Amino acid sequence: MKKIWVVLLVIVGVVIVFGGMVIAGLNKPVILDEQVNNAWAQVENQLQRRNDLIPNLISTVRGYMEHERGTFEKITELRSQWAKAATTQDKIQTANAITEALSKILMVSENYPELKANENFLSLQAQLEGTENRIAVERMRYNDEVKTFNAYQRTIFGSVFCSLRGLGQPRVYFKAVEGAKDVPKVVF
Amino acid sequence: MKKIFITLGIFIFTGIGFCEDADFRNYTGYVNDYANILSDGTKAKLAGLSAEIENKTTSQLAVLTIDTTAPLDIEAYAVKLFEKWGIGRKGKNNGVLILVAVKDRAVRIEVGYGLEGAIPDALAKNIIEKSILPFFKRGDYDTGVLQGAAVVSKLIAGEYNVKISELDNIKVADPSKKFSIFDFLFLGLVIIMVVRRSFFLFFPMPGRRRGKDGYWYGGGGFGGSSGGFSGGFGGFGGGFSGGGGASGRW
Repeated sequence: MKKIWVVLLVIVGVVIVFGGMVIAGLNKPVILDEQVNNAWAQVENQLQRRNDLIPNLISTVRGYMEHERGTFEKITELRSQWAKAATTQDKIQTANAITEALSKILMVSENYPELKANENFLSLQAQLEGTENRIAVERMRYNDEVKTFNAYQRTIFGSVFCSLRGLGQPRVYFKAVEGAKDVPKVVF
Repeated sequence: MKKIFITLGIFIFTGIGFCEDADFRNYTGYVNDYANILSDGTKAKLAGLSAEIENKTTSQLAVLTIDTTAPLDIEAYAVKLFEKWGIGRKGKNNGVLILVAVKDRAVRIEVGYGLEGAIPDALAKNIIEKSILPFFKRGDYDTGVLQGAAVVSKLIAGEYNVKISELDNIKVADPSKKFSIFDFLFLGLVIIMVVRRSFFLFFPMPGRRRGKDGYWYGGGGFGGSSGGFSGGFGGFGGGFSGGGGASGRW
C-alpha cells in the first residue's frame, strides 16, 4: 500500500516539474517576441523623427543647391514610400535608402559656404546627426533583442515552443548600409 | 619545436590584441579624470557642481576624461558607458555625461532620455562648438570642461526651476579672448625651444604634456590623482541614454 503512494507522489512531482517547464517554455517565445517588438518601436520612433526633419531640411537647402534637385525628389518619394511600407524588411530598406540620400545632401553641403553660415542649417545638421546617432543606438538594441529571440528559436526545445505559439519565423536584423559612415567619393 | 611555440605565442598575443575591448572603467565619483588633464581645482569645482545638481534636481552630471575610446567611436562608447554606469535616476533617466577622449581629440555630451527636452541635440552641439572647443583647441581643458559643465548645469537647473549657487564660482570665460597667460608661457617656450632645442635636456620642466604636439606648458605637475571626489556621492542610479546629445572634434 505504501509503495503505491510513493509511486503516485513521484508521478505527481514529475508532472508538476514538467508542466512548469512546458508553461515557461510556451511563455518564453511570446516574451522574447514582445521585447523585439518594443525595440523595433523605438527604432521606428527615431526613424519617424528623422522623416519629420526632412521637409524642413529640404526647404532650407533648396535655395542653395539647385543641382541636387534629383536627390530632393528622391528623398520626398522615399518618405512617402516609408509611410506605405508594410513589412519590417521594406521599412529597413527604405530607411537605409533615406540614410544614403541624406548623407549625400550633408556631404554636398560642404561645398556651399553660404549654407555653412546659415544658422538654421547648422541647427538642422546637428539635429540630423543626433537623430542618426539615436537610430544607430536603437538599431543596436533592436539587433540584440533579435539575436536573443532568433537564438532561442534555434535551440532544441525553443524551436518546438516557438512553432507551437505561431512564432516559427526568425525576426529580421536591421543591417546598416554598407559604408554608411564612409565619405562618398566625389568623381569629377 | 621552439619556433612553433613562438609563432603560436605571436598568434595568441595578436589575437588578444585584436579582440581587445574598449576601455570601460568604473567610476570613482562624478568626475573621473583618467586622462589626467584636469587640475585639482577644476575637479573640486565640477564635483561640487554635480553634487549640488543632484541634491536639488536628482539629475546626475558625470565627467569622464580618457585617452581613447578605440576601437569604438566616441558616440558608441558614450552610450555603452552611460548604460554601464547608469547615469541618472532609474526610470527618470535624467543623467548627462561629458566625455573627453584626449588622444582621439574628440568630445561628447551624452544626454539621457529624460533630459533630451532640456538639452536638445542642436543645443548640445552649440555648447561644444562655442563653450568647449575654443578652449580645447588651445589645450585649456580645464576651462573647456568647466564652461561646458556650467552651461549644461544651467539648462538642467532651468528644467527643474532651481538655482545652482555653485555656478557663481565658475566665471564665464570668453573664448574669443585670444591671449591668456598660458599662451604667453607657451610662446616663450616655443622661442626657447627654437633657440635651444636641447633646453629640456638640461632643465626638465615640471608640468604636464599638452596634446601630442610634444611641447610643454607651465602649470605645475600634479600627481596622478584621478577624480574621485565623493562628497555625498552615492553612486549613479541606473539611467539610460538613447544616443541623444552631440559630439565635436578639435
